[in-house]
Amino acid sequence: MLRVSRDVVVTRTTQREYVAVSGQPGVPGDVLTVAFVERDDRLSEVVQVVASRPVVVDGVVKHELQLSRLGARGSEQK
Amino acid sequence: MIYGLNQARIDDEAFGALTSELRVRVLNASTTGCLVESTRALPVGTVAGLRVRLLDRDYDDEVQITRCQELAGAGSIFHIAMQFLSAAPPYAGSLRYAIHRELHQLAGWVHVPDGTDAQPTDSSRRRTADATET
Repeated sequence: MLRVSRDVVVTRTTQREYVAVSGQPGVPGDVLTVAFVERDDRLSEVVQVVASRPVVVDGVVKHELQLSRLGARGSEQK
Repeated sequence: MIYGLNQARIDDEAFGALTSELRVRVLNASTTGCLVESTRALPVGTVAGLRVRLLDRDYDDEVQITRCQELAGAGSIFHIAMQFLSAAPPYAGSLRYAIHRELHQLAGWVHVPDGTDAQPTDSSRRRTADATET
């Protein structure tokens, strides 16, 4: 198993969805794991890419990935 | 104080990582790197974590992709070469340690019985880790 990670900026848009801004595009249907820190807890959650579209952030082309939450993988105290 | 919409958005944002898991088949391995087969291409330079099951035990290590080549006429099959990153010393569960130990155990000269013309050979040079699908 090869695990490839990329840094993203994650925003929770609804109870069931995240939006992540990434340097690389996503493939709709791909199942990924998103991990981030929220209130000193390290959260990890399985998500599925719903859509991916290019956006311009600070003059740089990035990709906005719409992620559907499939289930929490766990949290961990920092 | 009045906060704009941009400020509210920044407060909701979290810096994180998005991780994808790719099933690969190990074709060859040495103490410096691996060659794996995958159904997806990866850019050269990508850093990834490789986990391989050897003899009913999982081993992992950090790797960097050095070459990715599509197999001509095989559909979406790619051969991906990678080298181990030595960001941390090898430990008991690391792939580097496992491969080194496996090679070391089998290294040595095969002595040819007296009376034959054949030359002794170094068995370690022909030894590679077992191909394993993870």
